[in-house]
Amino acid sequence: MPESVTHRAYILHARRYRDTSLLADIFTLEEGRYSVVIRGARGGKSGRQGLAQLFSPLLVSVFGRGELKTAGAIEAARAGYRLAGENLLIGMYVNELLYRVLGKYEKLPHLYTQYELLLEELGQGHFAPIQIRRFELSLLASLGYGITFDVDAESGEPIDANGQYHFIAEQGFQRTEGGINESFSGRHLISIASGEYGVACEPLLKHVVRKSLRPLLGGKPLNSRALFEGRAG
Amino acid sequence: MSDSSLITQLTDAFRCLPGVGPKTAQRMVLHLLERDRDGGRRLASKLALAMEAVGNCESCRNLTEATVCEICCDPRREARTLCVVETPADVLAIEHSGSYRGYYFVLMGCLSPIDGIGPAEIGIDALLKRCQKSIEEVILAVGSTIEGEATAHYISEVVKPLGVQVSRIAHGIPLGGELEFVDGGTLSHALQGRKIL
Repeated sequence: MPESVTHRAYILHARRYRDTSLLADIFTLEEGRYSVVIRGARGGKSGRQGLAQLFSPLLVSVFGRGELKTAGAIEAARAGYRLAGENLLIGMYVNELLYRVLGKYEKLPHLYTQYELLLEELGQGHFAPIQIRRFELSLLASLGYGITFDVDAESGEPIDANGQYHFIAEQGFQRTEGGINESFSGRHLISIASGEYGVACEPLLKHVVRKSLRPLLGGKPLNSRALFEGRAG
Repeated sequence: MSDSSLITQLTDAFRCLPGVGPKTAQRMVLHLLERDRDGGRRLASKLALAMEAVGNCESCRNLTEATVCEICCDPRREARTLCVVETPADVLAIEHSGSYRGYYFVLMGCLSPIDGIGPAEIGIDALLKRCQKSIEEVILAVGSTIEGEATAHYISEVVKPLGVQVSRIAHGIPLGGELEFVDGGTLSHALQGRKIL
């Protein structure tokens, strides 16, 4: 029996592979994101088909030396988060985001915990856009693209509560004299920097996060955005 | 046998079938060449014909060589219900059960943003158009996977504003199933979806 290690993992995406297997991209606490073949995960006698689902905390024991690992056994760590309705679509958006921006074998334990917390919130039926923004911010921070909300990127001075600022991706906030579209008040930036995400800050965060994610997505938009377009909510 | 010989090429071609590896493909090729040349010719001609002629039904998107498939053309069917399924195989499965007499709509997959399957790919526009023709109830018969759930939710959100009733097939304990062998997820679904007697 080859040597195997057990990882705590969530499936980000899985597609059919051979007759009864799945080729899955998993996000693990220990090793970050990587690809794994889960044998017997579809049908067959293994009784594993209900297990390998999105948003379910799994214990995956993997072996193999190459880039593509094989899962010898998978177990549910505990019951999966029951995302329903709109939250399900949001969960799929988050998965696509992680799938697109995470590099392979990049250890991100903090982000893993944040992901778990987000799923828990979504699973309980709560939803506030601000939670998604918070997750996106910690994703950016984990990847080394953290955003500083309390310092003017141009002058290095602290943000002035009465000033107006605009945002430049990969640089930060710069003071503007107004007249520019999409400028934000210093007061909001300061409240975000101190960890207070009021409802009023949401449009600001959305703008900032989208602008920062764009270069990471390589110019190709996220497909899940189509799920939210063209209808209310 | 050289790599470019017809026999090798044919063996490779057979491997595009699901569940067919190199050994099985070789056995199929040798069988046709040694014992069943007629069968081989018939297979080749039908395959060529079907690959060219079969397309999607204009009304339900199921596979057919006609513009509108047989089921959609059948006037004896119940015109008020539309059953939404993921694949043509699902249509066959429901037809075999003999318990449904309405029309179908085949999504040809389910929502999966990472694979690039969005609302446009599963034919939401065609579905909405179909719903405007005398349909009173849309029955969602999609798989009990996360992607299936998401697809069901999305469709119900876009179809309901048309004033069409949307229902989802039940899921839970299989017929003849014993509780102790049913996995926890299925069991909790079954409990949630219980019926008052």
